[in-house]
Amino acid sequence: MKNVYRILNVALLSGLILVMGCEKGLEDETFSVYDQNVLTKPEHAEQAVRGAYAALKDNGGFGYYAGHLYWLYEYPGEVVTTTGTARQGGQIDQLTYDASNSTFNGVWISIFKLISRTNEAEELISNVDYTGNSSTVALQNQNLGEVRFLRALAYYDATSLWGAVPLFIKSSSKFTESDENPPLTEQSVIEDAMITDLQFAEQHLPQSYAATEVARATSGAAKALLARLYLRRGEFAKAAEKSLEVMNKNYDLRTQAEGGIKSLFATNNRSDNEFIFVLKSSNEAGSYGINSNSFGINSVPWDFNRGWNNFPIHLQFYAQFAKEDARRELLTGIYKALYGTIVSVPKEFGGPGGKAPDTTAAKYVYNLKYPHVNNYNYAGFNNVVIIRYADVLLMRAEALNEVSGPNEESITLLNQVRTRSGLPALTLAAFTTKDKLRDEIFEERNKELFMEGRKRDDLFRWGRSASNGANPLLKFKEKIVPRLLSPSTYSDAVDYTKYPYPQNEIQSNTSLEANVNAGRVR
Amino acid sequence: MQKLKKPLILIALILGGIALLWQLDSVKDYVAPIQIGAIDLVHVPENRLRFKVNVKTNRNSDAYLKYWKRNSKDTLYSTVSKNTDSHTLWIVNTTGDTRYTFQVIASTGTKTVLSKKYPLETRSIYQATPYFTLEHMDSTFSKEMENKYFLTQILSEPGSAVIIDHKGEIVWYEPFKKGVKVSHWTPEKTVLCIVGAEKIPSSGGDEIIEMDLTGKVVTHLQVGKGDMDKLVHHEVRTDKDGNIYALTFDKKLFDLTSVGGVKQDTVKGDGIVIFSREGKKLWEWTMLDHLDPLSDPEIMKHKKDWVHANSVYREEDGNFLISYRDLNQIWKIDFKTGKVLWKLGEKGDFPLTEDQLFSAQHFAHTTVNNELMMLDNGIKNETTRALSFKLDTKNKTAQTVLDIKLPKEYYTTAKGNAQFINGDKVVFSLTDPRSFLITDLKGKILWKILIGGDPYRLEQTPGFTLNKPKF
Repeated sequence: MKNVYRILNVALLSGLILVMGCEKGLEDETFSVYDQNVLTKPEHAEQAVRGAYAALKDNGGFGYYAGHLYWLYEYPGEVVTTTGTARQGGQIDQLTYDASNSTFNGVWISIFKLISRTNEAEELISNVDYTGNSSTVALQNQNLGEVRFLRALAYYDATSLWGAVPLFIKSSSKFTESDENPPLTEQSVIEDAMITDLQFAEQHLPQSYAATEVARATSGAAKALLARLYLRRGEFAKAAEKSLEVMNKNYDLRTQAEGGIKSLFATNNRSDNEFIFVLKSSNEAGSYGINSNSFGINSVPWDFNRGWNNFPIHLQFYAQFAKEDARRELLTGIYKALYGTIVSVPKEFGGPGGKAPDTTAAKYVYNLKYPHVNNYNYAGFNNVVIIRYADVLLMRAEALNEVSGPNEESITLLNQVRTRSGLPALTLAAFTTKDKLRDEIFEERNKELFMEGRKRDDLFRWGRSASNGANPLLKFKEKIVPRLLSPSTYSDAVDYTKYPYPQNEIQSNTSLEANVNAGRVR
Repeated sequence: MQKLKKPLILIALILGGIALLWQLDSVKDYVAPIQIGAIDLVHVPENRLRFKVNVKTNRNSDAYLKYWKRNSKDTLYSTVSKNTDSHTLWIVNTTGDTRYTFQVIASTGTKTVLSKKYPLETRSIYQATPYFTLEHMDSTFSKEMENKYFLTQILSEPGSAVIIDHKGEIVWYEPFKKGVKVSHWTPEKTVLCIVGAEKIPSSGGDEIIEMDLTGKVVTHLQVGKGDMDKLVHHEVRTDKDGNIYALTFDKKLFDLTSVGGVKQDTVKGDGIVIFSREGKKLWEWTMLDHLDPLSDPEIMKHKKDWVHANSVYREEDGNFLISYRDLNQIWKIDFKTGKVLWKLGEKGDFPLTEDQLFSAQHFAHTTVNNELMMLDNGIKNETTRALSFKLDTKNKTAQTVLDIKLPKEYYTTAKGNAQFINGDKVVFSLTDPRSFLITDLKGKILWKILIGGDPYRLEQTPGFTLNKPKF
């Protein structure tokens, strides 16, 4: 009986708790007024997608893919350099940079701006009822594929430049307090997210677009970026496989009959099918700062046609080209300067040479991949190449060599690129080791892809492969020390594969420790 | 173990008892009385006169809104959201730039609670809607017009479907990029329209859109998608089975060599189509199967838009009335056989006096008194009138019932409609003079609205305002 009493008590008590629980569950009446999300239609999603593409360029015509990203990718290499007066760029070129270099902050912000736009767009697209608005799930998936491709591209850059970075794959509406000070996420985790994005993109993006929309991401672009990522990760078999998938699509090299490599970068060549993904630029007056890039005016010097001389190229690079190599024509071997003198590359660097007073010896050469049209025209005329077909061929050649050593297909791929520029074909017999063929491929990449943003990645990958993964800086050091004004600037204590996190980010993000840049700067 | 068995059974019994008691509303009401939690008023950006109110209640309940203009006693009600704790309620009947107050009422059936009163301020409409100006309201008539609402549409681009109150104030609208060629208020309280680019002639369109008052598209048929293979024009309505019918543009090849045409000459004519609400084509008819083009001596001139059908109306018996402007005729079509049962009008099957003849008529329909009524645009004598007949289809006699001739200034060459309202008045939409009128049966103008746009039709919208829900 006592027990029953006790049990009853317990039951009553729990009943009471139940009631109290309900009481507690009651909320007070509240009233709020909202403006509903205006972005509910497929056309709004389309605008969001376009907005995401637009973030590939930033800071007028200078930021991100319109300029500064290539400072970080090209300056540290042995090809492109800076003028002595360019302080921020000069630091990167001469490896004297620190975390306060404004280029780091600029590119960091641009990258996360693109990431943020893709995240917001992704949520918007997901929330739009496509089928209910006379559209299709296929278009919805295409739009999702486009922004996820762009997000993967942004993270490719972020991880190439810094390694571990904060990983955001959600829109701001889902932010929690901890997202205000995002911690760094391991590079491999970010890469897994990129692979997921790119696999979605390759599945859902179309193979091509109408002529008016050529700059949109295709499934080929997603595959090519995936190949680039696999290559960076040392997953060569996968890289070879992905490159091959791009090769059987609607891309090809611009043939000699079409004008070859030189015409690929001609100002009237706006949408060649060698371009897999580009930053689309407009040549229209007034497009500068809106839909353009600054490579044209920055690539050449003042006396060429009033350029700003921000990407001078070492004469030693010019010297590497065979005379018949059509790619050499994308460098200023000889030109008539504004004031009448002839500027010519000296004979010892393979140039035409010439004698004073008619001819001045060139100190540098300048790239003509982004031809500068008209004096004072800030608007870059050409699209900025992000991925092109020659790169894909060379990626597969490299990957196959890493997987199984010198092989006929790698040579064939290499030869496709070489013969297009008027060079003789190579034979497999000339390459007895994997190392030899690798060196040849990287030299070929260098000559094919200079000033296209591949330099830094390539040097690290070359070193990594050549040292069996032990020393990604092997080739970097070998190539760039001879070009430094003072070789002692190079420090073996610095991991040059990772740039310092921008000072602004360290100061505003409490998750970053003060010593986060240890080993990244001198 | 044995010792524990008893208490366990007891606990189970008690818990069972609690669970049983919980089934009783009175117990629930006592323990957790119905209470309103968060009320979120959502401004819908694409529409200035439409508001969503999300209401949370602590228990599943029914809920609705009541709302009223500040300093007014006329209370309006929303639809009822049933048996949920997360309600979405809509305010769909407001005028622009007006202050309202609203209140939430929630009920579990046994207990009802009211929220506090909250303000709602509407802003002025910015979309392309025309203005409607009440120019005249007969003092003896104003009382009768209270709580009357009308649906009309703007057929130019950008178009819109618009509901106005008896003062001509817009209380509901939906903008469209294309023109809204004609609209119809269905018994389900939805707005059904033909939508099409301005350049599609003859009140034609390539889309049929049905929308509920919250702006949700409930039916959307498009040419080239599903079963819709022809443009529609002039008329879209629902029949008593809830299917959608409309006029179509159709074409057929005829040998017109005898009148100077070619062996395979295309003649464009009109058809009727019935779609289910899901867009399945259920029935189709074309006049080109029933009228010989060679009967028209001027067929070469007319072959691109022969006879110009401008209204179709499905009667209780399932058969159709179709109005042909250029023939000055109304036909009755047998649904089962597709045969033309009779033709009324000029050179028709019914002998008509001079005064009974109509021309370029619109909106031929059957009234509740089973009379055939139309707007006779009257292009022969430039007088527009509402006209109705009592027909004896067996003996083919037509007796005029209604003949309300409008003053010359209301003459409209094309478009428009006339139909009964309140049983003993007639409402007119007159396109050329850009006017809506209500007259008594003698033609006295009781109500007049001027429109800053081109309307096609004006229809009353019964059931637009909701009665107070009963809890």
